[in-house]
Amino acid sequence: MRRRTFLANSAALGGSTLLGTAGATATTATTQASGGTRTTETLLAGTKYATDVITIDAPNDGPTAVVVGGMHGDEPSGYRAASDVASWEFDAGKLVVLPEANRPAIEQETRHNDDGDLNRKFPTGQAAETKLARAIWRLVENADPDVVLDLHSSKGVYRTHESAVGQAVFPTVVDPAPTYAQVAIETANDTVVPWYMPYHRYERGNFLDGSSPLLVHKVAGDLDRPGYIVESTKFVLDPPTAARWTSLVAETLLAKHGIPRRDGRVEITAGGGNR
Amino acid sequence: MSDATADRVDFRRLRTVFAGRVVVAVFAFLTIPLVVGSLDGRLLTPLAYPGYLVMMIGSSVGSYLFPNYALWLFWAPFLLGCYAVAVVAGIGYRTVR
Repeated sequence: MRRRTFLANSAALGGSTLLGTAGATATTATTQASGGTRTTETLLAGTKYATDVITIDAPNDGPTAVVVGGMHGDEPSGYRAASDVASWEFDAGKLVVLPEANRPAIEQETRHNDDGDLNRKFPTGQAAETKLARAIWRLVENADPDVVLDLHSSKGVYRTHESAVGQAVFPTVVDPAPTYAQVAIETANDTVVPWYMPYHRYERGNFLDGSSPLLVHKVAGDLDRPGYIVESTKFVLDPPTAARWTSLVAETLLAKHGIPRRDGRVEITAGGGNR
Repeated sequence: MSDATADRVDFRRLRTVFAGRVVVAVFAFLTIPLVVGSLDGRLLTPLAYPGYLVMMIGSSVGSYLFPNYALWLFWAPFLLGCYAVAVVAGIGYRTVR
């Protein structure tokens, strides 16, 4: 495979405007291969929030997706799955992946950072409430996405444990998100969730309509675009397995939106395919 | 029969009821496949199904009664519950036999 790698300054590539750094230079690494172009830049470089943004330009034109993981630092399957997505190659479309959105919280393995719960800082119709939230929203707006995925972990099982939301996919009210969410749910239940774990079958969560200050709610409220929150549980499930399940849901949603993964489906977990 | 012999017989009976082979086998059957599978999902097998049902039903009731408790705490009652089921299974086995 012919592969060419070079390092450059993001300003030279026009990346600093997109990333809105705090005056610091964001190092950019670009890899070009038969699978398209992959660019790595740094959001809020030089600050405690500094984190990588990977942009994957597939060889064929197609829709644009933003994939976010790590909004909460104690939800490892979410940021592991987002990192998986950032490592894939795609046949068409463009992906902007922010695998570890909330680096300070991830380093401390906590839900919150010093500014509280990052995923409660995105009110519809108003500016995002913290420096990091504003940088993330600017990233989303500049990407002008056709779809946004936000990958999380949950502590329990939806409608089984009090106050638990996983395993579930929460779509925006914007078509075709509800339909595609159902397809992704059925795909995951049919392929990776073993028959002997019936309580772990994914379900569709409530519609996201902009009524709460969450990132994907704001995607619906301000941009009127399809978006999804994907939740996989930590309960009786190790983080790598939950991440594989989350990755499959993300892969299915991206494919439905016209951004198919080049090298196929995620690895089936043990017990999968036995349904 | 002397008192010492009677004590030894009672001890053996107690050991059989609470730690007999059937008790150990049922307890292991309920717990090991689920514990191993929860540590590494690649090791999940259909053998985890009975323990999984005990865990899900028990933790569902537990989280309803104690909504502020972290769910990982329910591993302790799960193990105790599986042991109780194993003891009952052992008694049942001896009764039928």
